[in-house]
Amino acid sequence: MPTGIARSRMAGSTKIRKFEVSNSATATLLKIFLREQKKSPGPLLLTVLSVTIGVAAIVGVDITSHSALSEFERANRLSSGLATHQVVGDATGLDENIYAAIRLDGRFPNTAPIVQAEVQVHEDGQAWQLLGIDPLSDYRIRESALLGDKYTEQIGIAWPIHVPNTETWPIGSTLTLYYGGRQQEFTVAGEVFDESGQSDMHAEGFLVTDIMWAQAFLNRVGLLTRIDFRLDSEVDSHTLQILLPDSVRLIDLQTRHTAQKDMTRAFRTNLAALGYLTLLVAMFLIYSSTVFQIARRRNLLSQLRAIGYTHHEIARMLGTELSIIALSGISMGIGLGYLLSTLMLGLVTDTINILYFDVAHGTLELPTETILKSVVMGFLGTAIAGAVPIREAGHVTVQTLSKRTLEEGKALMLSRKMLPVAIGCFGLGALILMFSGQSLAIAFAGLFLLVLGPAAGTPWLIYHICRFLGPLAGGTLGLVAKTAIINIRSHLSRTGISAIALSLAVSASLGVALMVDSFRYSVDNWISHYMRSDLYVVSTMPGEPYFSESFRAEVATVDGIQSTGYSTRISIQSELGLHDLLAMDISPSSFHGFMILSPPGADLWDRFNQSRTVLITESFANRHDISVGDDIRLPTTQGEVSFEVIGIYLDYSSEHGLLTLSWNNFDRYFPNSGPTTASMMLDPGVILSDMKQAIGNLEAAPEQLLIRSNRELREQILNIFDRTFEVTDILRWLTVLVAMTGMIFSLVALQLERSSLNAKLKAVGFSRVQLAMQIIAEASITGFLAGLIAIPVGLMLCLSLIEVINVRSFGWTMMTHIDPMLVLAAVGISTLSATAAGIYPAMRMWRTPITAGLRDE
Amino acid sequence: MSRVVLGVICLLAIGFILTNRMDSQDAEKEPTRFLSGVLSDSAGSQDYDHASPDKIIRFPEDHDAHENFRHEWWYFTGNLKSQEGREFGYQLTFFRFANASRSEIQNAWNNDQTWMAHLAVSDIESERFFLEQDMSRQSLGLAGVKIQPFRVWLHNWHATETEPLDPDRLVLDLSAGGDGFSIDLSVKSKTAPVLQGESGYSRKSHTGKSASHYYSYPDMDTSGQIRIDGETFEVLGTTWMDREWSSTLLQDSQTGWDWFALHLGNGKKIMAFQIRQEQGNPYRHAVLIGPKQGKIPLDVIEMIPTRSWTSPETGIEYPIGWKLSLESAQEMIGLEVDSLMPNQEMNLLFRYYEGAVEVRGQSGSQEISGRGYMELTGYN
Repeated sequence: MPTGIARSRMAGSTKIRKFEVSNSATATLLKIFLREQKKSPGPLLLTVLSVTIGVAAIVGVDITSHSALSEFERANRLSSGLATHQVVGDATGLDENIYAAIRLDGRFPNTAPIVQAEVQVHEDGQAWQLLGIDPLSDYRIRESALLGDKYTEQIGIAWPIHVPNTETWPIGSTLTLYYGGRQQEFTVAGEVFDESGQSDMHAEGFLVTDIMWAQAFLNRVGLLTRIDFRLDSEVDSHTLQILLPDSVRLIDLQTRHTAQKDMTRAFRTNLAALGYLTLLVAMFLIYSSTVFQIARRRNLLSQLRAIGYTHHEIARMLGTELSIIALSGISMGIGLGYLLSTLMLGLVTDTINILYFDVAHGTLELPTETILKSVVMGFLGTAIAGAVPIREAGHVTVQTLSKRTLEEGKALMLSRKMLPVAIGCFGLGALILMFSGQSLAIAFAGLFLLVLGPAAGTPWLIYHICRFLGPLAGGTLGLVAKTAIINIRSHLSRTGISAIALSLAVSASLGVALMVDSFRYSVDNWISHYMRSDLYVVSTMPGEPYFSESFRAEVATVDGIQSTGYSTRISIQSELGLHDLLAMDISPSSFHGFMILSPPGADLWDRFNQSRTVLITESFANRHDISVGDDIRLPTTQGEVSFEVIGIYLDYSSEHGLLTLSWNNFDRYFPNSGPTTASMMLDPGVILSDMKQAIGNLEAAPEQLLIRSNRELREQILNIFDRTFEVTDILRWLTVLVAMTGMIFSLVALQLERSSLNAKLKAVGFSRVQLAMQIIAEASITGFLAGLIAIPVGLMLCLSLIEVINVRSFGWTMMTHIDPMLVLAAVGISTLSATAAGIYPAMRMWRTPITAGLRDE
Repeated sequence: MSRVVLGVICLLAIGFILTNRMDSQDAEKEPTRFLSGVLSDSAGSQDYDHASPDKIIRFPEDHDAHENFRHEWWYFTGNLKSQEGREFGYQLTFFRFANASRSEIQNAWNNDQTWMAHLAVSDIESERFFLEQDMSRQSLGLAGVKIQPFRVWLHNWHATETEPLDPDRLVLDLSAGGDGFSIDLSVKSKTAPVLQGESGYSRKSHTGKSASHYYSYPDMDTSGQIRIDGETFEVLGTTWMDREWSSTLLQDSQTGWDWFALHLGNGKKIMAFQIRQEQGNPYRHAVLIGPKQGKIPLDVIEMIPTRSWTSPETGIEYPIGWKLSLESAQEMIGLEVDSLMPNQEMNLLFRYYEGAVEVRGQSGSQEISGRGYMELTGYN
């Protein structure tokens, strides 16, 4: 007896009873549905795949961002331990007697002295951070103590060192360290430990030794790099501040770490937005597949309604089925996302290394919040996408059985109705973008609406384009094309949704590609202006990368060098946070390479050389809301000194901004160890390789020099630029892949529905080739049209990214550069991916015998 | 290249690494290893001076460090009472360790003298125990000892002579603090120091292979403040100061010691210890110190644990109640020594038990009672 009838007969029984019966009705329905799905699992699997990829994109981005950040935090923990504050001196270091005075005062027992420097390890040729600690106080900051049990084996060992992994460098083996022209053989005495007390296999980049060896090797007798503090309260930091001499600076690490993490926020938000875009595209596919799942079982649903199942029961059943799909998709999505993150982690950490701070690749972590987020987003996306079709499915009656024409009529009406929604969406998106203030997340929400609006209008556009194209195609392209175009129009409920997804993916992809291209173009243009010299020389001596006076004097005597500019870049902690300061000793002609944005067209050479003036980059100005004429207070060797901002210039070398000042100013106010970079203009006709050799052979030349020509440096910069966008490319392609999967799915679904029509066409003389061609043509045309529609949307997206998102994320502006090839490529990708998507359904049709199609009649 | 690295730092490092990282299994064996490492003759003690019966102890010179000996301490323990009658115990100790050799490199951190200090306060009424440790090399003036006036310090913890008038008597200010507690006490020896053992040469084994130089100020009037969680207690009481230096305090076969410094109510004091052997009878020694500091050797008839307590933190079982039977030519002394509160475990790098005790018993026919301190080391 059907459960529905049983249920109606039992009207008036207790609620509990009703519940049980209703549950058993659901169970029976579920069995029926599952049996149906088993017969033809393809569409079901594709739906699951849509959810999977959508969730995978979010999980992949999330894991990657999280892992990169936790690697940063872990490195900070290793380096700073539980320290809340640090005291640092100037570039020359910190008098160790300051540490002694603080300890003898007694109010700050949780204090440890650190000597730290980047050294080069001969054995692997890599740069490492050498951390010199005092174990007798260090345990108060790095609770685990960085030194392990094997520390005892140091007894009798000269120059002992602790490494992250004694499998690579066994205890007793030797490491040769280079620093500032000195080299020293250390003996591996043990492992660096992490907080758990376990040997930290991933403490990459850190070598640890006793402070006395570090001071001796780094030639810093009497000096510390910093003092770490674990302070309990703000009051403590004020008390400490009073205790400290003026020449040193107290840094709140929490604030600094947060600031450093915040620097990456824009980058991470951009990545996350791409992840969410993939999910959004996937949602269309979920919608489309749910509609199809219902349409395909129209017969079954009508029969179920006929035998007494209520629309609630059917809707609940479909909901349960969709939940199972969502759950499977989410589980697989998490797995796939994890795999995806293995691919992306290296790229993301490389980008963070280039743009923000040094961080090792580290290990992948799957945080609980990522799982929760993916479950919520997966279910939410599926629920939103599936709600409308399921609700409608509940209302299927015996009468509506198999009335597709009715549905198509509805779809057309819907596409018309969607038009104002699309325009509204677009307008709202534009408004949000314009008035979203500084919030990146809100700006992205606006951007999503901006892209979604036109996408929602795609079906209407396609319908009308096809109506226009249909008669034309008949004459010029033949029967196959004409049938294909008619099919697209008459199956708008299927093709429309795939077209929305494809158009959305392609427009996003095009927009991002155009923005990246504009960015690259701007950077290239900036390099041409800014880098006017022929040769760039950098000292790579760890610890002491400075050019001596004698080297400079020798360079001045080399024939063929027209002029030489010198510069150095240091990090300072000012009231505006941690940022870089560039000091330049250059000629007026090199100075004119600066692309001064404000005051426009000003010649600032004279003012640049005046006392206490500074140029700032556009991103620095935007970040800190500083204009020309403002004063910036900087910590100098003479205490805090105000510098006047005389100009703002375009620069892409530092996302968090840069201050530039003349060598005279630098020499007067900052600890000056000498320049670290030289840029040389050569006489015409000088052979670069000969000049490189000549400079390298100078007597006073540092042992390790990196000499690059303008072209080499330019290539390197652009190469780095390209690397930072590799991860964006992956996500872009992933979105297109989802859309393509959706297209396959839609077309297969369509062919399934049309199997009887196809059979009839075959029966009346359509060849299999013609039918297959028609399917592929249908796909290609849909792809082509979606691509066309994506062009204006992509352009708009590109402009929004350049004008709003980039300025807000990175603080820099760029020129808009539209490469027609990229636009063509977008249409090509759209067409090709849709064409590729048509192959499988065509093959499927090819294999289906006429009888199978006609049996359904 | 000379054989280098601060040996003691390494030994200390074992300790704090173990303290931080030890699982319960390791906890059972490592303190013993630490003790035998630092205090026995197995780690290069041949490079140091050794205690000699010929040594004549002089003051104030011998308040100073003996850097050619491996280890040395300035040890203060006391039983105090607030005006309201609230009872406290305290310990403040400065340890000095030396390592055999040093590197040829020239900087302040390359120093062969290492200091460690322990501070503990027992709040008997609330049974709360506060403890803290500190360590430093003898670099940059961070730790050290000097005389005339005498001062021993580690960072801001110190014992500083305030009335350097009489070389036989010590008047000191003691100051130290940890997280939420501190002491500021003034201690004043009532009498000249007592030279333990044979004129300050104190044997620590039957064979005489391990020994130290050892003198005490067993009776120091004490006054000052104890601060706990922001509350200040004005206290009065008695402090016992021990000075000891050696290069071989324990032989490899010796596992630890039980040591008692007791103030009896009748004005007499008792110092008694036993050094336990892995096998065989422990080495025992006891002395009765009269009110005028007259020293009477005692035979230790019996030294038996009567009660034990297991530390919830380390799982180590300590005998915190003892029965001592001592005998002099004049009298038999029978004492029951019991911790005033169980948890007085110094669960620090160098783990041991140092606690305030109460004493009850009989001296001859006289009923006696008092307070004192007990130290138990080498348990695991």
